[in-house]
Amino acid sequence: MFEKILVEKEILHNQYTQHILNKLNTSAPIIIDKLDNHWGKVKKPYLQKRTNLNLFIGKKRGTLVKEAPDAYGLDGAPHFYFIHSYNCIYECQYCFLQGYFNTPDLVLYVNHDEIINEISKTLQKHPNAWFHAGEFSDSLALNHITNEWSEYWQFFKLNPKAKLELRTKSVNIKNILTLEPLKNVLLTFSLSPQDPSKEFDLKTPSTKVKIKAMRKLSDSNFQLGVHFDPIIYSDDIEKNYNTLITELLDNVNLELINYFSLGVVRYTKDVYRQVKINYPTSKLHSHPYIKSFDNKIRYSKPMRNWLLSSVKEILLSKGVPESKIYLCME
Amino acid sequence: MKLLCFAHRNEAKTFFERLKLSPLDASLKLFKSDNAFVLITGEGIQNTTESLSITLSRFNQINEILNYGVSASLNDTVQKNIIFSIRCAYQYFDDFSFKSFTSNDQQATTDLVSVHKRIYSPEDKMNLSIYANLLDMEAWAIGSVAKRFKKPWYCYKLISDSLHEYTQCEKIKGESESYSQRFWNHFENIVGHHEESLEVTNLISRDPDFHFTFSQLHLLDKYLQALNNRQAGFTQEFMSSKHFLAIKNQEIIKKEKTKKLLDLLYEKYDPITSREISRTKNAFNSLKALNLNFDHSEFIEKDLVKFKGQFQNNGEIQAIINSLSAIDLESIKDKIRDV
Repeated sequence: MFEKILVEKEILHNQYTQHILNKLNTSAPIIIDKLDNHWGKVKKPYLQKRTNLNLFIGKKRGTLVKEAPDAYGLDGAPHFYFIHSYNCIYECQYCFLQGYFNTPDLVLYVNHDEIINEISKTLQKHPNAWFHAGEFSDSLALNHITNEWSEYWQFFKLNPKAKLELRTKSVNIKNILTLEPLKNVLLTFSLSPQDPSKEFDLKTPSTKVKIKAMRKLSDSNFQLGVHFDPIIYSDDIEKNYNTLITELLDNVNLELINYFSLGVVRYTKDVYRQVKINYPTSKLHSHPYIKSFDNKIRYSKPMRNWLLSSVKEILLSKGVPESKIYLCME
Repeated sequence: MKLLCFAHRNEAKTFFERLKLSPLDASLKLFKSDNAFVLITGEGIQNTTESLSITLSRFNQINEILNYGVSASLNDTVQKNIIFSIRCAYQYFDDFSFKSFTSNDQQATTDLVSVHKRIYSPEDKMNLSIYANLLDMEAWAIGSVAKRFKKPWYCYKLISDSLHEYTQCEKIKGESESYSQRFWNHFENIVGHHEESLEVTNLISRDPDFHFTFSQLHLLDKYLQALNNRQAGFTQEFMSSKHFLAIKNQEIIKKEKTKKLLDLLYEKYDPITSREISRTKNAFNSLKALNLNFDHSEFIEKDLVKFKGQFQNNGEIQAIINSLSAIDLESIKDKIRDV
């Protein structure tokens, strides 16, 4: 799975480090002084992840919990995210990670006690806050190796006003199903219709399989969320989302879906440059982009409005209450 | 034309025999045949940077750079005596340089570190092997100069031996002639794959019934690329469509035809925005009587309208205020965005 495994000396004996090494059958990883002296220190091509992906295990330093950008999450509560990992094993063609870091190499941080401690401090100021994982990685894709969430579960059980969102494109829910469903912990899935997903979300499980995983969680009463983000234009987009939403609501209890977040594909200038380099013939480039109000590269406003209103209309027509739908980053 | 770069003349021996090269510049060690240049760069990053930069600045017919050379392996598991196509070249000079250069071989999966001096210590080997499996002294410079000159580059390295043996320069030099034969065989095999792809013929821009300015050609190219990406064979189908032929056969000047053609392509390229632009134009045309020069180019994205006006007395100011007050911008927005 990984070409090289590199571990920071300071956390070599951390229980999570040992767990990960054990799961990966690695008895002799490369020991490094500090992660920052190696990870991202040289510019590595993003698509190196296809053949030579390295794993770094380290200690997250600096700010452990950060305020989320505006227009993030449902209105009314403060939103924060925490970083337990950098980079992703999947390869979504539009992913911002390809222009964000200088390396595709994966980092798993293992000082979860310190991250939770910081979440606790944040809660003292913002008792109703939301905490999001998966901003720079997929929250569950490697959970079978990392197995960190039970510690967070315990914390959020004791802090029922706070909310935790684990965002994923994976179906790696085996460990999660062993945990107690909590009202304030949401497993949220990024979903796209089947065909665009096959084309753009490389190496991710198919939409059908994701819905199957959501069904299992729904049957066990876990709280869920859905991200239709990014929505990418295609000629049959209305038909595709109609099929997707029908299939989703046929399988998953709508009561357990806390929200549907809708966002249209967008990039920073640097990310878009990388997308063009990495995927020059992708159908992502078939529809025009403009530099929009916040200098991000997006579809034109009429196109964005049309896409968002089309998907929103389909949700409403299927009985999803308007209060559960929000537009992300618009 | 291709430029083949070697650090040492012996590595290029077979190329000299087969390509019938004649010297172009002895100080540069640059040679030319009917269809390729050969440059002996000398060993090291600085030599390579200098000689390649001078060559590319003097001969702009060079459109592709191929580097052949010997490399050491930093990892004992890497197979020896195989030619690897290099994906990414890093540079190490006491520490790693942030910049790396990725070759144009999208199938390549092997990375390499270019160093300034020979590496002996196991610690250095360990440190370098975190980033790549191969080691040389030129590839990073080739990538760096190629990028500066915007030329595609490819790099092929034969693993002579492991790092320990790599330091035995004399041994490597002794074998370089046989390496040269291997490089030539490799070159002969891949040369067909590197032939320039034919420029996609833009049939429309060559149609004598239209006249495109430079910026219009750029737009045409942008629209056609996207539309062909969306639907294979779009251009050919479009050119036989009645809409295209109607414009082509109109009795108007070429300039106007071209503008109509581009408007039509834009409608296909972005139908939703195109409709909103047209509605916006109509909405602001109806305000022409106000004698305010409106600029609504940023209206669609930012709801922003600019205008230019002039006044010489209070009466004229009041007239402008009255005109502006009469505009119901919210209802204009509703009309434009009524899907």
